[in-house]
Amino acid sequence: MTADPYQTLGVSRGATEEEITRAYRKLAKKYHPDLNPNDPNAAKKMSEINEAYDLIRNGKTTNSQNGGYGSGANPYGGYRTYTGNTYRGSYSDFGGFGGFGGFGDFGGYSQSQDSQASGQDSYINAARIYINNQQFAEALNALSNCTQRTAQWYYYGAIAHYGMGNSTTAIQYAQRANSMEPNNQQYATLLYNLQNGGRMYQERSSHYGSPLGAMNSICMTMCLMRFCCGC
Amino acid sequence: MFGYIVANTDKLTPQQKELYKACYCGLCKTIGKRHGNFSRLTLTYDMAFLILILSDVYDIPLEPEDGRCIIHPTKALAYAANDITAYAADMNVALAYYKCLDDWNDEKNIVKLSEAKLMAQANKRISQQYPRQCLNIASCIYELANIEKAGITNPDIPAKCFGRLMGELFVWKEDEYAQILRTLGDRLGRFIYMMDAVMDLREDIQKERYNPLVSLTDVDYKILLSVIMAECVDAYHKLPITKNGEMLENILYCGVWSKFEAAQEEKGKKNK
Repeated sequence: MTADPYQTLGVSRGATEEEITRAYRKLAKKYHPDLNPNDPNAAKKMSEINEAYDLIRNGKTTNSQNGGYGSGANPYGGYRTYTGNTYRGSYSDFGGFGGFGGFGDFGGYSQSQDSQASGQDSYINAARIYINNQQFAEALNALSNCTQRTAQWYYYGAIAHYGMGNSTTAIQYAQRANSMEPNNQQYATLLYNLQNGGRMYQERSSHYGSPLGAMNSICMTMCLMRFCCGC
Repeated sequence: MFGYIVANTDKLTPQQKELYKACYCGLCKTIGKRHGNFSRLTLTYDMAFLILILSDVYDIPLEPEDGRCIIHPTKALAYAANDITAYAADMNVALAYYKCLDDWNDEKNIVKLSEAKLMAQANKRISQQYPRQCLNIASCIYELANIEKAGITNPDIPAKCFGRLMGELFVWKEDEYAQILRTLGDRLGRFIYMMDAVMDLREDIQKERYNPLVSLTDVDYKILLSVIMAECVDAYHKLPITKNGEMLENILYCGVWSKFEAAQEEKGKKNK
């Protein structure tokens, strides 16, 4: 994307975070495909808006995983001051339906002709090394230094996010890599593997048939409950 | 945020239906007895799932007994309640209490503040008995509020946060099942958050409210949600389930999609 992100969102460079967010949401309301089902360009426009918002936000924040946000005294009182959570789930959680057994070893060194992109290359290579060592947070940090969002960037980002337990982002990134380079077998395989657990789950689900009938009876039951228990 | 972890009652046997309903009535009765009548309004079917699964894992009997509805004494009902029901009742009220406080902090909704005040005494008792779970609920809700305020665009961040909130509730005791239950609850929590975000997306965009799904493009929500459920059922299958497996799998494989499928059907009708 070559357009100026500030221009895309229609805000000045000195705009506050609140102003930028407000502008973003106003544009989302106008262009989001969900609200514009008949507009074939809506998705593309929304993509540009999202990318612009992300670029501006990442420029302001230091941490690529969570964008950084303040923590202060807990207003709920009675407990010790909340200082923030760093959750490191177990990577062995990704077994069975969910996992596809390790990411394999990433050998080789990526070399690019364009000297401007060599900075990009070194960050990508750093990310690759971190991923090999299961240091996914560090990999994401390395990737956040890249200025170009290439298919390769999305590919390694997908793996790092998956390692962090960010399955939704992982799949989004894998989709991007795959759509940018549809002939790349590696990218296609990653996307397939990430979604595979979901597919297997869906297959088992399908044996139950549609739960539509259930919705009505649950609703009725709960409505009756509320009615009869509503003091 | 609640009401997604429900059963597809059409696929339950009459006996299972009776137990499911009895679980709910037992929970209602227990909440009323332990925490007062007002707290009963916070009742959700999601806690019935917690009761069923923990009762099975810990082999605590859960049999429907005849009784009467406490509000309408002339109405005959079947109740099923055990020690897990008491735990679920406490968790139900704790969740409702912190949710009310959060709503008050967020929207300055005075009704929510007064509701919280009505549950404050109960919550104090509950947090003394279950400090681990209650501290966790409080900190996760606080963190979620911060995530929302910061406008975090990555949906996994708030989803994982809500996952941590739910995960801890599923750990009744710190024993050999704790980690599996924590993971199961965690993925269920992520699913609930994502599903809620999907259900609210349209309205959130229209009202210019926070919804991290706005940042996703070219999305197949069903596969994203299924990937989370796949991890959830992975954990489930590691548990020693012997009695209510059919009902639990009904919920995990089918019932959780009830609102989603209903919304799809609604959308399909509109587009015709």
